[in-house]
Amino acid sequence: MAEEEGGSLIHVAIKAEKLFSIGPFEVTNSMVGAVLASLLLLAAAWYVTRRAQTVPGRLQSLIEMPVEYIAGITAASTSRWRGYVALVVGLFLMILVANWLGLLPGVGTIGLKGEHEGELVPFVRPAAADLNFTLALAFVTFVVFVWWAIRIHGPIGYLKELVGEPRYMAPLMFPIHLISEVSRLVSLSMRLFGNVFAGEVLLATMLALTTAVIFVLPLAFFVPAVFLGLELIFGAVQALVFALLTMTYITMAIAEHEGGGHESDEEHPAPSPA
Amino acid sequence: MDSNIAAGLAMLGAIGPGIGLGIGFSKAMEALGRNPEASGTIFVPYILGLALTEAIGIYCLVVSLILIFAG
Amino acid sequence: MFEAFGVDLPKLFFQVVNFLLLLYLLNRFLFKRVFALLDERQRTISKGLEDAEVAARDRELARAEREAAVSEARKEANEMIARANKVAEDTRNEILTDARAEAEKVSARARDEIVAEKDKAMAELRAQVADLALFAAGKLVRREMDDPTQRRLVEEFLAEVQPTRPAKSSRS
Repeated sequence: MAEEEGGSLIHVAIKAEKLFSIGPFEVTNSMVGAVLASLLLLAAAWYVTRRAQTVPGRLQSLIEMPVEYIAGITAASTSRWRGYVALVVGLFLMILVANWLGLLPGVGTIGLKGEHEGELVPFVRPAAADLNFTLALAFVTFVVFVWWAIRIHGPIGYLKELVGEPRYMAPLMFPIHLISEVSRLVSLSMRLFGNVFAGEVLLATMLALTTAVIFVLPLAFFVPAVFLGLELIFGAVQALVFALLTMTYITMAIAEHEGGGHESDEEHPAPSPA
Repeated sequence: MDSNIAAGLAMLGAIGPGIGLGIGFSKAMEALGRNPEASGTIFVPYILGLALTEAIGIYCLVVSLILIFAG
Repeated sequence: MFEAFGVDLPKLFFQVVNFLLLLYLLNRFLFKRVFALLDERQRTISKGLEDAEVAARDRELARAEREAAVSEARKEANEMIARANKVAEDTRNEILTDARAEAEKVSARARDEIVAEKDKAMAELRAQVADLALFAAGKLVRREMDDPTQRRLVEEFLAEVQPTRPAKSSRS
């Protein structure tokens, strides 16, 4: 629909666009964004570890601070925090860097004229504005919390958890529980994607509105800047939300049986199916 | 064109989470006002509640995006 | 539904691999160190808490000990004061009774002495009066009287005079 209008000033593609292909494999601009974010993070990690000092410098503590913050929150969740803290912190850092990378000037604006109708295909797209990226992260989270649930309960215990407490309600409750498990996957990925994509649309809209008429053109320097600041906050909040939700799901998977007091009951049947 | 109108209507669903977020935030601020030392304890559950409430609005957005781009 | 958002398997797979690789490398290089630091800090904090607890317990113990010592000392002091008071009271009473007895004795002796002195003085006075009377009588009569007679007369006179005197001890 958007393509039909052609002259519309607002153009944000909902799909990540293909830049080129290596054999059958398409390389999209959001992949470039994700790889760029990863490389940035690795560079930061390399910088921190290369000149590791006991008394950290300003840049080093800037990088270590969020790690320690998230790790501190995670450490307070369960006694097994060492088993999943890396995932939580990694998710946070990855999403944070990917989101903020998308706000840099040039990202989403520098590109090639694409195949169809001369639309701009940017070289770099904010990774989280592609559902592939967010779904991949949510999928990793999903696998990890299901794995934890199975590891703590045993496969039979996990199935029992899905079936629910009154056994005769199983035909009704089992699909509901299954859907609720899968909906976590969908809601995690959709939340991040929706926020970042909506942010992109918002920025594009603000830019389009202020550049539509020559009369309001000076506003184009200020109005998008306000929303850029807002997106800066949202990027961090969404990264935090994703990480904390991951932590919460894993904590729930673990603590359902840790806090219930029947941990010892579950310990005995657990080895037999394993 | 119809699907664009439908997309617009779908975003009416964002009213609910909007109100919900407002209530949640106001309660969080109330709690913070009553007990400023608890800010660290309140923050994480607040962010989680915010995320879960906001998810509804995001669902609306997703539905309307589907309507626009795939409708 | 997902096709609308451009999701397909190779892209998804690429993102998963990318993230897992990143996670592995970050875990390898960054997190190990930071988490070790965090662990260290947590250990320090918990150790500090433990130390503080131990110190608090010690302090509590010391306080109780001190209090016990103080109360013990106070009790002892009170006892000592009571004992001293009692001793002082006893001593005072003893001294008082002694002094009273002494005074009694002194006054008794003084009374005896006075009585004896008075008797002696009375006897002397009586003798002198007798002599004086004799001398006066001799002068008056101008004649010699034999002494025994005179003396007897005077003594008779004195004996007559005596009953009018109040002194009782002189009668014997």
